[in-house]
Amino acid sequence: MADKMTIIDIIRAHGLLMPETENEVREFESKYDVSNDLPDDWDDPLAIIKRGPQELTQIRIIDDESIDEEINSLGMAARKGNDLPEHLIEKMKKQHRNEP
Amino acid sequence: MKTEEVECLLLAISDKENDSRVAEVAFTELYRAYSKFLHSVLSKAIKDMGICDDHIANTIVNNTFFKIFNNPLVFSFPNGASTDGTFKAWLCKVAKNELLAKIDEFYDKKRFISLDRVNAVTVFSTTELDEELIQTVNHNELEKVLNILSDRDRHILMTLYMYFEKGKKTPSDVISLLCDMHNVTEANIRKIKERSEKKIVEYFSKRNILKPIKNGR
Repeated sequence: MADKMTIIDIIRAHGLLMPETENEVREFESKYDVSNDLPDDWDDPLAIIKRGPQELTQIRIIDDESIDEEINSLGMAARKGNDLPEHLIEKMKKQHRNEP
Repeated sequence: MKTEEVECLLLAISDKENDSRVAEVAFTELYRAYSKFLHSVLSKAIKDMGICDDHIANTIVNNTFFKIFNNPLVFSFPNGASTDGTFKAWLCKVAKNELLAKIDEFYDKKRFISLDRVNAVTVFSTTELDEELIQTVNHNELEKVLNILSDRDRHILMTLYMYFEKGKKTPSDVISLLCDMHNVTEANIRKIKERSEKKIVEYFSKRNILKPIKNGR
């Protein structure tokens, strides 16, 4: 009899959750380009040791309302009160969703 | 990196009391080898949870590597390991635990644990799918189906999956955390999860890629 898997098992196996096994790591690295993702301390890793552990000071939740507000405020600032073109709004929403 | 190289670096870091300069050089090398990967994993996970990444990924990378500096020998490769994949997987687990702990602290849920854990409930369905059919599912199709969900529903589902531990019940404080994060009720969380998983199954069923064998609770 074939083994059973749940939806979460499938999603994890295809690298869509934080990897927890060697296979999931391999799957993640085959799907996502990590080479350009420079963390803040890249130039001075020893700053981590001097700084010590940090707390989270802010957690903002992405939702459609907050995206719309951000788009509106950026649009107003950039275009001096005029609306952003529709294709730019869609591009910003896609970036929030991690879509290519 | 090769497994021996990782082991040498961790050993050098563990000897920081005797030779801090060598330990720091080793730490720098380890950071440069793995921080980009870890940062990518965290950035994606944070966005999938519906959180704006205002330096959250960097904070967790910082804390994860700080833990490694303090206790480098807590990790060891399993017998027969030929690649550093298990080290990367372990880094991700440490980072995930740190991320979830920091989110919990931020929402200050821990003070409710003692009462709420008595009422821990199982949230996840046990919709089981035949593995032969699962073999035909690919990454692109999965991303596509997750993107047909609304942003909020997808974020809630992915956050639930982040907290999921196989074989264990979902603590009520995780559910109440989600309620606070997304400004919804517990009943909404359940409905969103059921509705989202139903959409995923229907998507693949319609494309005749896979069929549900059994729905369970």
